[in-house]
Amino acid sequence: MVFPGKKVGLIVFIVVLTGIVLFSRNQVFKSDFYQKTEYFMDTSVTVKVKKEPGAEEAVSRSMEVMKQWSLKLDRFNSESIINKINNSAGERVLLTENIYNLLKMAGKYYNLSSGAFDISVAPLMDLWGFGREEKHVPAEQEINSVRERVGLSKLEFNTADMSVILPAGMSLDLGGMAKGFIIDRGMESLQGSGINSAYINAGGNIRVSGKKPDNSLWQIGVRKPRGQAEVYQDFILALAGGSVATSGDYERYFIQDGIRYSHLIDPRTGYQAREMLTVTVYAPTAVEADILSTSLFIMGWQAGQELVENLTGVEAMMAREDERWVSSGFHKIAVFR
Amino acid sequence: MQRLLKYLTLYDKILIVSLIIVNVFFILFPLYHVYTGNQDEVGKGYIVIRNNGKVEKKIPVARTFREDPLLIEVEGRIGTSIIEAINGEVRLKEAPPEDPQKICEKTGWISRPGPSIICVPNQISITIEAGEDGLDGVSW
Amino acid sequence: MLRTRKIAIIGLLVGIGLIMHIVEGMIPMAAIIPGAKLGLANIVNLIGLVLFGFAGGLQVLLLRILLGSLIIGTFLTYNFYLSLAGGLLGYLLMSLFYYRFHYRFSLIGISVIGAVFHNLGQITVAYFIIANIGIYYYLPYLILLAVPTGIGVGLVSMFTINYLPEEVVNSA
Repeated sequence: MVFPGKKVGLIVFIVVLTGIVLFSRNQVFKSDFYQKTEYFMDTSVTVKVKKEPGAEEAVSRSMEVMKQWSLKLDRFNSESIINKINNSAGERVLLTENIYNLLKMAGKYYNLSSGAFDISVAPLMDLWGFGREEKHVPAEQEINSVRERVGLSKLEFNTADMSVILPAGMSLDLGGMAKGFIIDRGMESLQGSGINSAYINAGGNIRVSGKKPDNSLWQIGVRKPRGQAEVYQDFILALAGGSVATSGDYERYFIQDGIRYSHLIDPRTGYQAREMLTVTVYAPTAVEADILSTSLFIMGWQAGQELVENLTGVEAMMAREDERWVSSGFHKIAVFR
Repeated sequence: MQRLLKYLTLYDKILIVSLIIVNVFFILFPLYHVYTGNQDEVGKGYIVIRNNGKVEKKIPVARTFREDPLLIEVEGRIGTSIIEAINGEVRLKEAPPEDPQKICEKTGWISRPGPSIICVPNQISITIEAGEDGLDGVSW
Repeated sequence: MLRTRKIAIIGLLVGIGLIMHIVEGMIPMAAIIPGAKLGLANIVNLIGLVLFGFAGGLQVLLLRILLGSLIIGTFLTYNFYLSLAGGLLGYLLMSLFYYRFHYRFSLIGISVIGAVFHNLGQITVAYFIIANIGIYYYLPYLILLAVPTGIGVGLVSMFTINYLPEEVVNSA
């Protein structure tokens, strides 16, 4: 056993290294993502981008932007602007342009969905215990009295000084649109950093930008509403941009006396929307997808289908107990197999 | 540093430099297929929990995309290990109190094939293995 | 041959090794890489090897592992077998290199070899216990870490032996 001469050793070393390079070459080209997951908005937020110089910083910046917005829009955060509006109910509150436009958008979809999408549903959510209290079925009387304090049409907009007046007793909860809005801000930040292949997933709401680094489409599965959180096997969404959001009665719910009570409450009746199990919406931006998935779920089978077919650039899949419906352009974003 | 170099013989230097090069190389280009078959993206594949060398549970990663974490209890050699999985990530949440060092708890979350969580005292290991349905994510 | 002196010094080395073993337990290296350790206790094995030859160093190693596991309470558990396997493999390779290539490698090189094979031995035993090949994923990280810690251990051993009084060194 003698240590080989320097030259022989060097040659053996180079041969071994070359062998390893050839051996693992296929693996090397596969790892083309940088990704990061953080926990805020009561859920996990994952950002995935093409691995390139500056990707890490861009993702951190985007996460930071999203965190800031999530604090601003959380009604349970005493510093947030939504908390301020709720605490000053009955008074005029001056808003920044961003927030004012966000509320305007909520108003637009309130009208479009004939009141099914309503960010002033907060008092009802609290009554059912989907805010911070214990979940329970309230008495009918309670529901009726609380319903009087719900209805976004009562929110007074003043475009001149970008202010709103929320009637006393009412309060806002952006739960049905905040995630989407925040994802859009995160994506804006990534695009501002020059990243054009990216994926953001916040609690099941997904937005993608561009194609994947290997030039293929982003493949997104949709969760089945029942069973052990399986994914629909007969189709997947294949996207090169745009956003998907899913609303289902399995997300947040409680069961009392064998009946499932989900967090998807119809603000017009005060009770759960029960026609469907799940709705998945594709839209150009995450805020639209987020709002529409909630809206369609609450609007119901018939009204929901009509709305989707009237909107351009929006596709949807709805499922109820024994059947599934997809919009006429759904095949453009999905691959059935 | 210069003093250190003075102590090192030529063979010391060859040894140290080749160790560093070879291992940096394997860190940069891990032989994934040796461990798991193939490298894969987050959200695909299966979480494989082995107990005493045998596969005890094989859970599709897609099943972990949900609001509340999936908790799995595994009865190992010295006690019960609690495994937590959510959003494509898995960790060993609680090693049994009989485990003196709890190295597997300290490993933290894993989300892709390659790194494994190993509990030697309790004979439990957790890895993520590549699967068929190649999804980038799940909407729920 | 001063037998008493030899016994006393081996006892001393085992004692120092035990303290290092315990100090090491306070440094949470495993939080960085699962299974990682500084390997400080290898200092006494190496000194034992140099002072008293193969048998002397082996005594130090075995006594330290045995007493250490009794103190920490891991005797005959898997942790004990892991330490034993790593310790023995590391020690055997160190001895081999020390006797065969003494003039080629300094104590630093020999200590690095010990550290590398200590990890290899541990991981291999862990593999037989756990039967999951994925465990080798961490090996390159562990070996990379073993290089600087091995250099450190080698340096300490070298200095210690250099500064030991003549009669201690010659007592073997």
